[in-house]
Amino acid sequence: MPEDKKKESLLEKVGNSPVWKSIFRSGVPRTRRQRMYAVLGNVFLHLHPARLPRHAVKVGYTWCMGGLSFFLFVVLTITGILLMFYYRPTVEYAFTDIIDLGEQVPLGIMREIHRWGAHCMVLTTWLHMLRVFMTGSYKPPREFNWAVGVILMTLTLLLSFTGYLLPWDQLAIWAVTVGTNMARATPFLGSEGPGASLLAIGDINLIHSASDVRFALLAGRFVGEATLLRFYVLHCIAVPFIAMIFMAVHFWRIRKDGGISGPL
Amino acid sequence: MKLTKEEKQSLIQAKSETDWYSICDEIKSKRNGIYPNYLAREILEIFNNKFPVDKYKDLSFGQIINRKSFLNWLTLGWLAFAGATGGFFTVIIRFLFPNVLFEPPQSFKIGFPNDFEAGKVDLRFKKSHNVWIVRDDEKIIALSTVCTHLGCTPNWLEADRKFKCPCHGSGFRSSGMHFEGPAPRPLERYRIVLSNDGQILVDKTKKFNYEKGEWNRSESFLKV
Amino acid sequence: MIETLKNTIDYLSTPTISFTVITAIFPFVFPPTDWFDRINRKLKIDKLWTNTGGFIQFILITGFFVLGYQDPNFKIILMKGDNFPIVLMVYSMAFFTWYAMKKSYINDARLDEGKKPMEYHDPEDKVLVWPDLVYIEFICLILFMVFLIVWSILVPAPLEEPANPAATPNPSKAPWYFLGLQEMLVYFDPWLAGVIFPTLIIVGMCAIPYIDINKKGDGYYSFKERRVGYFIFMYGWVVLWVYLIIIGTFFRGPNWNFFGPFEYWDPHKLEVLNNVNLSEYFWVIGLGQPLPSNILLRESIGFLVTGIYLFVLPVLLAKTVLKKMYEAYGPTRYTFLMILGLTMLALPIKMYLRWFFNLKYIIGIPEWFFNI
Repeated sequence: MPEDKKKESLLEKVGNSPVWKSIFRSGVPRTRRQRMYAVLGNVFLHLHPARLPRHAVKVGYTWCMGGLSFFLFVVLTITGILLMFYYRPTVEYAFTDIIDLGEQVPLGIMREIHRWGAHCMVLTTWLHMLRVFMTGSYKPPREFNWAVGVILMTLTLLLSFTGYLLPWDQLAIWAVTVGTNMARATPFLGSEGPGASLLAIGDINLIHSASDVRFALLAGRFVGEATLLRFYVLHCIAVPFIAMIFMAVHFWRIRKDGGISGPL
Repeated sequence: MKLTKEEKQSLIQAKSETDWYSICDEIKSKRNGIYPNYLAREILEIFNNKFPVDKYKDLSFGQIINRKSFLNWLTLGWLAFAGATGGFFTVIIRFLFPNVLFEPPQSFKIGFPNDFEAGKVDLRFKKSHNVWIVRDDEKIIALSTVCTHLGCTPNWLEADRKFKCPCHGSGFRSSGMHFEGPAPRPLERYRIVLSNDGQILVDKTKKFNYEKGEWNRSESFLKV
Repeated sequence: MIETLKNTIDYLSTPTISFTVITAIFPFVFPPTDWFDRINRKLKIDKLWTNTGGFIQFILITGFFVLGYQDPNFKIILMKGDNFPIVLMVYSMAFFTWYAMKKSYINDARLDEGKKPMEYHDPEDKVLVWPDLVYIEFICLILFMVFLIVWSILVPAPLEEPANPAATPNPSKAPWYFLGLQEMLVYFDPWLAGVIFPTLIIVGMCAIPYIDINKKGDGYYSFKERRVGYFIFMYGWVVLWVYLIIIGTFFRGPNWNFFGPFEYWDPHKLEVLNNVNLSEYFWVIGLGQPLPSNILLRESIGFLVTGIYLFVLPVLLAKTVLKKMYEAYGPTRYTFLMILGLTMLALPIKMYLRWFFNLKYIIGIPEWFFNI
């Protein structure tokens, strides 16, 4: 039937080719069934169920803030990887590398995207939380997922905070000095926290400025070279790694707790 | 119809299983073969009491290890696991504290007593060693430059004769005494002594805190 | 004329006044009980959540920023790169709060008429993720990415002088999202404001679904069905977090002194801070004795006050005013709620004690680093 074949559009030709069909099993999703299959058969799309209640696609209901937070995480990961190609976390080079990132590297707005994106991510997670509260979506059976969300928000703040030090300018070290000095006051575990003086063997204090939580965070008594490296590793590897685990749980639980919230 | 008292008694007193089943048949026939669930439940309960069967007998550890020794092994196993995990995490925490610190030395010489003017706050060692050397009419002290509120570095304002912290506005006199702002206690003093060559030695490993009454101890100041 | 307006705004934004005003009008804006609700409707405050109300809010905020931009002092603060997200925060917070409240009021009216909320659709009538949702997400992402790239081209990321551990800038500020915590540090010691409170904020937020036993209002915007919940959350959120961030960003200048938005940041501004501990009030001023040398005796009155606040007050409340609530919540949940709620309230209480009585510490034991 050569007559029929001519009518096939280019899209359909590609979509029905063996290569395409080996990647996307559903071919060109034209029918309802194929479209559902397109979602189910795709590892990324199957974060979503195949079908949703009608209100779930209304931006007026969801504000799209959770999605944007995740999107920003991806944007920050990609720009972050690109920045890592040029940035050296040492007192000697950190500051100049940051200047070079703006001046000596083509497309010198990568740091801007990273920094403004990070600020935006803090905002979008807050707004996502506000939306979830306003619609009462944390109520059973979604209580646990709300708690996971709160932890994710904390991790977002920690990510932003650890990244704040990396430009190694005045803004950075003093914001981090002020921020981490609070750790010194942790009860029992900080050298200037209540109860720390109780942890002593005879005359020897177990908790002092070189053995408390702040030291563990800074790798020194003050914000210095070792701190820069430690924050760099926390910012690029450790906290994103933890955040990714919690994100996986968060997304999984949305599906398992009955999908998106809505009136019954 | 539920079981009557006599039927219950006869079931309980049944001597063997064959006996039991004949009584059951009798009960059934009395009810014209109707055998509803509630009746079955009632009979089954008596049966379970009469002929207790441990369904999981074959799977019980009892045959391999007796209960007591099993519990002991279990406890030991869990304790070992907890110990190993705890030890592992302790080592990880210890890992966060390096053995060698690449920071300026904690004790250092700063020059001769006459290098310092009376009534002056010396700012030369602020940047390199985080101390102020303050000399008044009778003594020299080494003050920590770390604000006791949140660890910012205060600035010496010569005109107002005070240390003023830029972070939250704590103010300290040249003696280190706090008098304004949120700082909860005075600045700390470091150990200060004369070394053998007549120079002043500041030792930051030993601190003297006013609120613990340590400011009048020897070595917390240098008499001149 | 403009000068008078600026001076008035400067005056009104002092924490003592602005915090009191916001706290006082808050229950009328988010009325937690019938009584407040009646006044809210009588004064037509609920009109805030209509289109006109939203427009007026927008004009007011924009007017403030435009006015601020004209002012040389405020312009400096406004033009700092890292403060741009806060402008964004002010707008987005106002917009989304307005939007959610507007939807809530519409839904409330529908519920009153016995209708289902707006979000309700026939459960059988479902849409497909492909293409309906995927395309919406796609468009959202593209629009957002365009916004982000335009922003990145227009505003360079801030970079100050190279780090210098010897020169603390005046003022030194934490990143903007932590300025709420830094503001708390004015009133509480670091172990509370920097460690205990953040921990309790995180734990308390996680605990919201377990504490809130109100089954209503799940899955749609509704104020009427959850007004106490809304009130508490919005107070903690808007006043004790966002408001404190705004104060910390725009109104805290050198030496962490307070400056009105249009005031010059004078590093020599003198603020008399002669704060007195409760123990001194009691022993020295009240009884005319020197402070006892025994620490515990010296601070006994502080321990007593704190003990009453944290342990006796909840029991008294459970027996009297909050009896119904206690019965509905049960002892465990009630205890949790009280610990979290009283800690949250401790912040405004300490603020007022500081402002009115120059009170420094309720319990002040610097020897043990234990100050409350």
